[in-house]
Amino acid sequence: MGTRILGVGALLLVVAASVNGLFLVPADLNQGDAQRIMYVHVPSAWLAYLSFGVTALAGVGYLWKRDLRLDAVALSAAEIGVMFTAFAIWSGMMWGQPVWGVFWQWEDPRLTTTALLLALYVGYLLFRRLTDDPRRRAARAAVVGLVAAVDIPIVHFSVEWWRGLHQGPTIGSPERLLDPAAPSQFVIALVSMVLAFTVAWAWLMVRRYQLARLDADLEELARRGRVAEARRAGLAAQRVEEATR
Amino acid sequence: MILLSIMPRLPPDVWFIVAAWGVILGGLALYAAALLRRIAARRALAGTRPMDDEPPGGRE
Repeated sequence: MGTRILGVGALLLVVAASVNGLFLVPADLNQGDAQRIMYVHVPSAWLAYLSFGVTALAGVGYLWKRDLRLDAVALSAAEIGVMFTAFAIWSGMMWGQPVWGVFWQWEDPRLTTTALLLALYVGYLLFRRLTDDPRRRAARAAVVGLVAAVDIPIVHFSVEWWRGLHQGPTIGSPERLLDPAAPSQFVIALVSMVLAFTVAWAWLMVRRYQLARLDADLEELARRGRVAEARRAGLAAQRVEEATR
Repeated sequence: MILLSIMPRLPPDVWFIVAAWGVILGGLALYAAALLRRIAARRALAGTRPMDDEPPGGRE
């Protein structure tokens, strides 16, 4: 029931924030309507960071507690994080063409490190398929998730560490949040979209976690079924051997 | 026809906005629907699973 309320709340918030971002907020003086892409680009990037941060923390939690539920959290966050990273890259490309004049530039550190982030977590999801043993898989995935998480601060600070095409953060620090470079109407539209997407992320996380637990239960049932079958086959072979003696 | 008559009048940036927002909101909706469908399928499967003592191939 709670998850359903969360889902309906997320839907309403996303619809309201989208109507505001697409139709009510005025176009930017310099960027024109292309500025509206930022209202989905920034939340997507934020949720990619959040997801991969959760994957890393759940991985640490698994290595410490050896609880497979934490591995399910890590898997759920990684899959959703991959989706939001792809959304951030796609929306960034759609914004880059009208504003920068190019869809993509490999020399830009933010763009390149984000592409690397996507590749790392797609690799994480593929890596998980290499073994059927849930405990071995969880332990290995936790280590890979931690190693991949090193790229998160590199992506975030790349705009400050290196020069590139990508601009610095609009609201990247507490001081910037209180005194943002953008007009308040734009900031309100952006923050409301971030909030709406974060609630949607929470709902997706709950549902993906439920799916991961159901998959784990079915995997365990299948394993038990195989063991029971092997036992039956073993007993039958033993009986045949006894009968032929 | 209505869409075709409106299309040339829209500023070029609009197509980038439609592409960005469309893929993201559409992608979110599709992913959410797929999750719900997969959960329902797993629950149905778990409810009709063969028992451990069932012979291979199922009961008659």
